[in-house]
Amino acid sequence: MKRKAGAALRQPPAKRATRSSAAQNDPDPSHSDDQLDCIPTTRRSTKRVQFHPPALPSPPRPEPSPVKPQATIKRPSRASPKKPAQLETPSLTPPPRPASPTKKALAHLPPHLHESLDRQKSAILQNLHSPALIHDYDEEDEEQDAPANLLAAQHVGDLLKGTTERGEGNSCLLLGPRASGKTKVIEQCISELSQEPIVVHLSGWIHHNDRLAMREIAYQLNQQTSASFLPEGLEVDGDAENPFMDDTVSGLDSIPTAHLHALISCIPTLPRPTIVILDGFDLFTLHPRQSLLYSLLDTVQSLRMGPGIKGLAVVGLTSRMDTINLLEKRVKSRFSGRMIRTAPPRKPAEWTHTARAMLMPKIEVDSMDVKDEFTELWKTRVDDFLADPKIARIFEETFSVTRDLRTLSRLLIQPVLSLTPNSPWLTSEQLERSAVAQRIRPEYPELHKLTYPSLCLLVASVHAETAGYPAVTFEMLHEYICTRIRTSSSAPVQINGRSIGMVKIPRLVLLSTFEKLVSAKMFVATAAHSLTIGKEFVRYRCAIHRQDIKQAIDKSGQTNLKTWLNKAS
Amino acid sequence: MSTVTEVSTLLRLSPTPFIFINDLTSPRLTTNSLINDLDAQDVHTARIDGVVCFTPRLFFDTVINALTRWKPTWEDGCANWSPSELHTTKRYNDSFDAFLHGLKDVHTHLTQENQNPTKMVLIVENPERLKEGMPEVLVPLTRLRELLKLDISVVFVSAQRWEDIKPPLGAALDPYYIDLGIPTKDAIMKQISASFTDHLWRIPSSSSSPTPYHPAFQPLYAQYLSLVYDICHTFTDDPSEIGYIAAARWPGFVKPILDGYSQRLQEADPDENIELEVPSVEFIMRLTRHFKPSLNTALEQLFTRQTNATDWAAANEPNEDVLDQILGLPPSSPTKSRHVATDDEGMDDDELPSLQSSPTRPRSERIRNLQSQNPTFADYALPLFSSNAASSSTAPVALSSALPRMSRFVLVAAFLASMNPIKSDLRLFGRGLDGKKRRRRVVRTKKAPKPISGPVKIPQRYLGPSPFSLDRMIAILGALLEEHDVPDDDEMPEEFTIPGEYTDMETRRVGVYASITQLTNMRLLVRTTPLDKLDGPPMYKTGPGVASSYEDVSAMAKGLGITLGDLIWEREN
Repeated sequence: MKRKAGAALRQPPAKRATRSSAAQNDPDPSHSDDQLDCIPTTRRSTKRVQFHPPALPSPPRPEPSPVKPQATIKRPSRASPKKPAQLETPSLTPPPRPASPTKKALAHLPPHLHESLDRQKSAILQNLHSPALIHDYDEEDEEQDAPANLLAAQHVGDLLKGTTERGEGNSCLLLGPRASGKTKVIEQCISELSQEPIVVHLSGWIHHNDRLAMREIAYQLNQQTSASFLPEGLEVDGDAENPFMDDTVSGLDSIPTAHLHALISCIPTLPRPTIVILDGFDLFTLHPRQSLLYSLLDTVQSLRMGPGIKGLAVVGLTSRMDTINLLEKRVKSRFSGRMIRTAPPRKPAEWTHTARAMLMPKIEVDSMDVKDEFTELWKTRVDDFLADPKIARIFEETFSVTRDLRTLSRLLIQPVLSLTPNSPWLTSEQLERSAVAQRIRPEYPELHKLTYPSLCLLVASVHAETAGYPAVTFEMLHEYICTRIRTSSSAPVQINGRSIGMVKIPRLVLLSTFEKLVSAKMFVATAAHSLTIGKEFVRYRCAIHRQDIKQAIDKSGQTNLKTWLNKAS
Repeated sequence: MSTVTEVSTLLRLSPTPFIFINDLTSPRLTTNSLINDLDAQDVHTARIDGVVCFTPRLFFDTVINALTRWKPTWEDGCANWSPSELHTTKRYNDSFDAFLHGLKDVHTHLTQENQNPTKMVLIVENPERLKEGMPEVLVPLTRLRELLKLDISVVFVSAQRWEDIKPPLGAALDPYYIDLGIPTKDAIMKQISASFTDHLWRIPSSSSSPTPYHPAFQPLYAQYLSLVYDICHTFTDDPSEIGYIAAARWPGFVKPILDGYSQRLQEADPDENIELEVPSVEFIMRLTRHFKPSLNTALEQLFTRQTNATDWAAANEPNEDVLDQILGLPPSSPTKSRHVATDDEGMDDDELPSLQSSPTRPRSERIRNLQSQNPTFADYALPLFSSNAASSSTAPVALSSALPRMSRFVLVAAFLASMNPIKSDLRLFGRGLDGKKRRRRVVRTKKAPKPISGPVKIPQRYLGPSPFSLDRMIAILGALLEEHDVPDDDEMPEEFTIPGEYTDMETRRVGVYASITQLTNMRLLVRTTPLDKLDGPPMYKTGPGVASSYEDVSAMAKGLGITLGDLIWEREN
C-alpha cells in the first residue's frame, strides 16, 4: 500500500516532465500530439535520446514499473530493460507515453489499423468470460501459502486419480464462495485424468427431488455408456450388465423411489469409473430423507475391489459453509468428511494481472488481421491503463467489496465495447462509468429523467408519507396533485405571458402513468389484489426512498416540483 | 448510455451468459429492435414473453420452437419440433432436464444446418412474471450457459430492476447490467420512424389519388413528428405511445393538403400535370396551429386507451372547410369548428321520453319540472365500465339511463354510506320530530382544539369505500328521498299524516330490496358479509369502478337533483 501511494505521488511530476519534454523536443508545431501518440517515428525517438538527458536529469519516467511492482516480477524481460534498449536502439522503442488519459481519448487510429482494433476487440470480449486466473505466487517465497485453488486442484486431482486408476470410492465436498473456481477446479481435474471417466452432472437448482435427479442420472449414463458414445477400444461387455442401457427415460418413471438405492448401487458395475458431480450440494440435503445422497454415499463407502468393479467418486460443490451439518446422521457417517476449500484471489495485484490477461488475449497467429504495430501499441496502452492510479483505485475498491472475477470481467466489458477507431484506447472515465453501472448500482439511476406526471406522483407520495400515510391509494395521490396544481396556479403571476403554475394533468393520463410506475415496481402493492377493490383504491407503498426522490427532483430542475417537495417536511 | 446496437454487438462478439436490460420506457420496442438486430447478424433468437408463457411447459416449447423456427400446424397434430421424423415421441417439455436435452439437440441440428458454430440467444420479456409463475426456472435460466456448455445467452428485458426479480440466496448469476435510460428526442423520433412508418413511405401511391404516405410528405412528417413529440413528451416518453398518437393524427393532418390538391386537380385542365408539392412554410405553420389542440385530446384519449386510433381518427377527421379556415380565417381562432364531428354524436333527445315513461319516474311535479328545465342533467349518461365522466360521449353503455330511478337513489345512498363516517349521519341527515330538516351546525367553542394525535385524517373517499350495514343505507336513502323526492302536498295520499311516513313506507318496499340485489349482481354494490350469515344486518360497500368514483356518482346525483358535494363529509372540523 505504501509503495502504491508513493508511486501515485510520484506520478504527476513524471507526467509533467514528459509533456514538457515533448513540447521542447518537438520543433514542428504542426506535429500534433495525437499523431505522436500512436505512430512511432524514429525521428522523434532519436531526438529524445539526444535531448532527454540534459533536459531531464531526474529519473522519474512514466513507466509502469514503479506503480506495479508485481509487473516487474511477472515480466522482467519487458519492463526493466526498456531504458537501455531505448538508448541503444532508439528506432525500436515505442513512442513516448501519452501525457494523460484524457489525451488518449483524442487520439485517432490510422485507418489501416481499424481492422486490427476490431479483431482485438472481439478477441478480448471472447476472452473476458473465461479468464485464466493468474496467481501471484512465488514458489521461493516461503512465507506465502500456495493459493487455495492450486491446493484444491491438487487434492481433488489425487482423489479422482484414486477413483479412476485404483477403483476407489471417494467422496468430498468442494467449498468456496461464489465464483471462486469450484467448477473450474473440478473440470480441470477431470480433463487431466489419464482415463476418461463417466461424468454425471447434477444441479440442485434443477433437480428439486430425487426422482428428477434419478432420471437425469439414467439419461446421462445412457448417453455416455451406449456404444456409439464410447471411444473406440472401449467395448461394453454386454447389455445385461448395464442396468441403465435398456432403461429408456420414460421407463424409469415407473420405478418407485424405494428402488433408487438398488439402481445406484449398480453404478460401480459400469465399464468405466464414474464421477458424480453435485452442484448446489446443500440443496440436495433438502430432499426428503436425503435418499439420493444416502444411496450415493453408501455405494461409495461400501465399494469393494473386485473383478468388474470400477471406482465411484461423488463430489459436491457448494458455497454454503455449514453444509456438513445439514446431512442426516446416517448420511454423514457415510460421507468421508473431506472438505476442500477454494478461494478467490487474495491480493488486488492478482486482479490486475488477470485484467491484463483479459485485455491481452492470445490471438491466433494465423490471423493476419492484427498487425504487429497495433499489438505493440495496444500493449503499451493497456499498461498505461492499468497503471493509472484511478484505475488502480477502482480495482482496489471493487476488490475490497467482492473478489468475484466475474465482476472484473463485467467491469471491463463496457470500456472494451466502446472502443471505436475514433477512441481506440481504454480510458479511466469509461471504467468509472462502468463501475457505477455494474458494481454497486445506484438504486434508480434515471429517476430525474422521468416524466412530469411520474415525478408529481412521487412527490405526492412523499407528502402522503409526511402526513402519516405510507400506504397510498391513487385517489389520494390524485387529490394531492390536484390541490397542488390548483394552488400553484391561483397566483396571478405571469412570466413571459405564461402562468407560473404547474401544468395540469388529466386524471386518466395520471392513472396511466401511475400504472406504469407500478409495473416498474416503483410503487409496490401492500396487499394482494382483490376483486372488490377498485384499482384506484388499491394501497401502494412507494419503493423509492425520500432522499432519492429529493435528489431526482433537484436534478430534474423543475422548480415547481422542488418548492412543492420542500413543503413536505 | 448503452444502446440496443451495443447490446447486439456484445451478444454477437462475447459469450456473455446473462444480460439484464432495464428499460423504463418501452421494453417491448427494445425487444423488437434487439431481435431485428440479432436476426440480421445470423444469431438464433427466441423471444419469450413472461405473460404468454405462464407455465414451464409453455416456456420450454416456445423456446425450442422459436430457435428452430418451427411452427406447429394443425395438420400434423400441432407437434412440437423434434430433430428427426423418427423421434417424434421425444418430449422436451417434461422438466428442465428435458429442456436442456432439447436445447442440445437444437444446437446440433442448427450447427449441422449452418455448417458453422451456432449462437443462440433467449430474450425474455416480462421476466417478473416468471418469478411469480415459475420461480424454480429462474435460477437455472441464468446459468444456462454453464449447464449446457454451449454458446447460449439469456437476455432479460424488463421495466423492473434486477433487484426486484432476483431469486433469493444469491443463487442466480449476476447479470451484465444494461440501463437503457430514457431516450432523447432524436432517439425517440428515429425509433418511431424506424419502427412504424419507414415501410409506409415505400408503398407506391398513384399521383391522382395520393395517400397520406406519399413520399412527398416525408420531410413534412419529420416536422410533424417533432410537433407531436413536443406536445406529448411532458406526459410520456414511450416511443410507441408517441408513435401511436402520431399515426392516429397524421391522415387528418395532411388531409387539408390533399383536399387542396384535389381542388386544384379539379380546377385545372385534365391534361395539365399537377405535382403534389409540400406547401409553404406559412401554410404549415397555420396547419400546425390548427391541429395542436386536437393533439392534446389525442393524448388524453389514446394514451389512456379510451378509444383506439382508428376510431379516434375517424371521429376527429377534419371536414372539408378546414382548408378554408386555415387559409381564410385569421390565425387567432382557427379551431372554432374543431369538434363539429364529435358534437353530433353526444346525447340524443330521444332518450328523454323513455326516461319519463320509466315506471319509477319522479313523483313530484317539482322534480319533474327540474328535470325538464335541465335536460342535460336528466339524461346524463353514466358509462358502465369507465370511471371517467368526461369521456362519456365515447362510452358505449349509458348506465343512468339503464338504471331505474330508485336504483340511482340507492347508489347515491350507498356511496354516501360508504364514504361518510357513521357519526356524521346525524349531522347531515338528522331531522326533528316536526319533520323539518335541522342541520346541526358545528358549535365553535373557544376551547383550543385537541392536540392532533396520529396522522391527519383523510376523507374516506380517497381511501376507498368502507363497508356499511344495510339499515344505515336504508336510513340514508330515506333521508335522501324525503329531501329530494317527496310528493307535493296535493299529491300526497290521504292516509299519511305523520311527516316522513310516506317515505318511510316507500323505503320498506320489496322493490328497494330487489334493486339492491340487482345492483349487487351488477357489482355496483358488493356484499361483504357471506350470504349464509344470519346474525347482524348484511354489510355492503360500493363496488369497484363507477360506483366508487366521486365524479361519476356526483354527476348521477345531479341528475336526481342532489348536490353530492354538500353531503360528503370532508374532514374533521
